[in-house]
Amino acid sequence: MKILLIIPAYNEEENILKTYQKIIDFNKKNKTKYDVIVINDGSTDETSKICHENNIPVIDLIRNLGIGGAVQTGYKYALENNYDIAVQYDGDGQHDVGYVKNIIDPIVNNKANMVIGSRFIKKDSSEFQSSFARRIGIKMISFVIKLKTNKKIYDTTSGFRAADKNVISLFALTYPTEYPEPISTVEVLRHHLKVEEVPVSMKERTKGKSSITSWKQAYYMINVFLSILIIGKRVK
Amino acid sequence: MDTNLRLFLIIFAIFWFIITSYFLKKQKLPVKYSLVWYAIILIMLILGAFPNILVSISEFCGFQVLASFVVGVILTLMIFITMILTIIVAEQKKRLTLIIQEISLLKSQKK
Repeated sequence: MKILLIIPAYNEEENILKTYQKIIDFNKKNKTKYDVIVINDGSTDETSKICHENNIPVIDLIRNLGIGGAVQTGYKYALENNYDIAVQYDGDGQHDVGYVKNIIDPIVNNKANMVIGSRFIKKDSSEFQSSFARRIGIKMISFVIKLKTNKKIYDTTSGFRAADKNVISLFALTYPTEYPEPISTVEVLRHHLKVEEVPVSMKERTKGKSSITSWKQAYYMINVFLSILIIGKRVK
Repeated sequence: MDTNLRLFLIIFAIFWFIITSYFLKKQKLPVKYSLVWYAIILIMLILGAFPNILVSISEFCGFQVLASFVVGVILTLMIFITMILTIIVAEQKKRLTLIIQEISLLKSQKK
């Protein structure tokens, strides 16, 4: 089975090499064969240089597209290179490569098309659970998704996710460029594909800043709600 | 309608006609978009020449003041045009994203 880790990176010069090195070390130790593709989202720092100097497989986007556009490029790459599973993986050290096996397991066993690495599925499963305000936000999005699709998704904004070939094809074709995590989940559910959640632990970002700042959160929530509600009302 | 107002309307329409034609000749304005503006200019000219049409329509719609009718029509038109522009911009953004992704993928394959 060909497995690809898609790592979107925007100005991650301090984290990207460490993240890559951990994956390579893990591969050696555990005899796994996780391929890596870094999508450098038009970084203005040395991210691209560090990747090229250290032979990290990288696609340099010629302009910044934002997280959605970057991740979608990864799915296009996965589709072109015939990968069986694509795993979205953060370049900032939040995700632990040890959990990749747990995330892809339901796909390997034909139990799911998409798997979300979830911080909230078991209590205390994750040392890092995000701020209080953000957890409330995630709960509210979860509620709207449940209303819309009848499926309970606990960690709606988790960026640690695995996709099988069906989902890779779907995402390569259409992927929400804004607020991609919750909205793409609803898209997958609407295509009658199976979504599962497995518990993972996440760390706090080691360096750099998260892409969602607090004052943008209310705006983010309104956008996500509206986007989820109109999915399905759309006509082609 | 006041004569001065009519005169102003006609002069403004002519002025606008010149500007539209200028951008059209310079190929800054596509023909299909210029048609909308020419149509609006034509309507302005007609109304300037025959103001009674405007007064009748305004009264028919129940407006007490002609001016508020005119402002209302212009506002509606502007909102409509802005909406169409938003859609065009969004469509362009989608295409740009696609092009950036495909070129970036191609460039990385070449290396």
